[in-house]
Amino acid sequence: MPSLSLSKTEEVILRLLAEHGDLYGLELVERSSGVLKRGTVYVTLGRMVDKGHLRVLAPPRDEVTSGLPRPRYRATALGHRLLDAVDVMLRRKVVAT
Amino acid sequence: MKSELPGQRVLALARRLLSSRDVERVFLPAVADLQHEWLHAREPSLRTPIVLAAHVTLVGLLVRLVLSAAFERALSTSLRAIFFAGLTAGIACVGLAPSAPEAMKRELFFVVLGCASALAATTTRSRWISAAAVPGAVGALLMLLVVACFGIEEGGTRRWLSVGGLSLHVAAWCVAPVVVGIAAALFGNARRGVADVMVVAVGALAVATQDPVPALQILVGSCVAAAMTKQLRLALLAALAMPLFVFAAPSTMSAMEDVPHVTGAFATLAAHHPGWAGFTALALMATLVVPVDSVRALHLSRGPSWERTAAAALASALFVQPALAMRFGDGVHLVAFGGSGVVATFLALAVIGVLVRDASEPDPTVDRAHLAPHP
Repeated sequence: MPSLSLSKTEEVILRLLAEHGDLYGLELVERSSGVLKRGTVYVTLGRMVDKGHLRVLAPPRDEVTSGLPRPRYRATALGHRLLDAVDVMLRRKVVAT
Repeated sequence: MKSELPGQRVLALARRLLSSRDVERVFLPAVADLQHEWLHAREPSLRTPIVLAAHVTLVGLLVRLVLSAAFERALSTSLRAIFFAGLTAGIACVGLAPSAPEAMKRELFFVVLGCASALAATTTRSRWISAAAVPGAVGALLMLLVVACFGIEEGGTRRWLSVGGLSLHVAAWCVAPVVVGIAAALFGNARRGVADVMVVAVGALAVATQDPVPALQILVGSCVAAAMTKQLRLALLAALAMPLFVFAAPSTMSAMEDVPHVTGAFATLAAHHPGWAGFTALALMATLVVPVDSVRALHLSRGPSWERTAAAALASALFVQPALAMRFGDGVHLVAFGGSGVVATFLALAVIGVLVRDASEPDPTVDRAHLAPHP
């Protein structure tokens, strides 16, 4: 069910996806400079998919791998709009101070 | 070569323990990333530390998800148990007035223990109960046999086993396992004869131990389970045997008057509290709340299932004791007939809660994708 709540960790994930495009779970951990932990990122990603903030992309057809197929994550329109809303709030906060 | 990749064993374990949703959404991406990291390690020597570190993460993730799922299951089934526990504990606390006798404190200890056990039991799944049902019933019957042979004899009956200084009323603990075991046996076509044998064994052991009430409970539960599974022969057998135990119950109850740990709590509560009738009514209501609510929930769910049969049978069995208490004016259920039996009753209520929950909601760990109609 879509949800408008956004935690700090979820915000970090949305920013990384907005900045770098589609990413794997491990790539999100590597690019977060220690903010995201490997032990918790997959739970957060699963929750964000449930909330409608992210979409899971199937691996490309031409990707050759002998391991399990790795899902990539992409921010949905709702995810992008939530991030925009957070940015607007932050700007207002800065102007107010 | 896929089986040689790291993480496969933990993934197999996760598939057994977690819901398919948790596996697909959370666990599988973690294992896929581990395998990718392992396959693309810069040097082969780096593979071992990668696997070790990743396995620590995966096991931590697995434990977290298992605990989280158990908590959700407990939360979805514990409301009835909490209500029941609160009401019963309240009744038991009456006995903790300044003049409270030791017997009442003992009752409260068992109520608290029963609450904790029930809450822990609500984290289980109906398929686990199903797997353990028949072996559990056989084990319970063997315990009754041990009581019949080596039990403590008091008031002309042989009902108790001395365990660690406590007198354990074994038959009270056997009601739920035997009823659930009979329901499970009836639901598997190949094991219906086992149910017949169990019912006959219960009757024989009840006569041997002079303990008619738990036997009556088991007969009522068996009769309901047999009727629900259309096993009319067994239903008739159980129904015909019931009057014997109903008529035997009052005489053995009066024989218990000389047994201090049975009548002690009843007598002291009656002596100390003039509102005895009110407590009796409250305790009976508390005992009946869960079965009534469960039967209502079962009525709402659709389709035959093992869970429905076992829950209805167990709920019916739990009706027997308060019904007898009302009929013969016996002591307060769970207070006078308390002791370790309280824990068994609480566990039975938790089992009903789990069965009703899983009868109403499909087990998330069972992959039902193949059951969806093809477009």
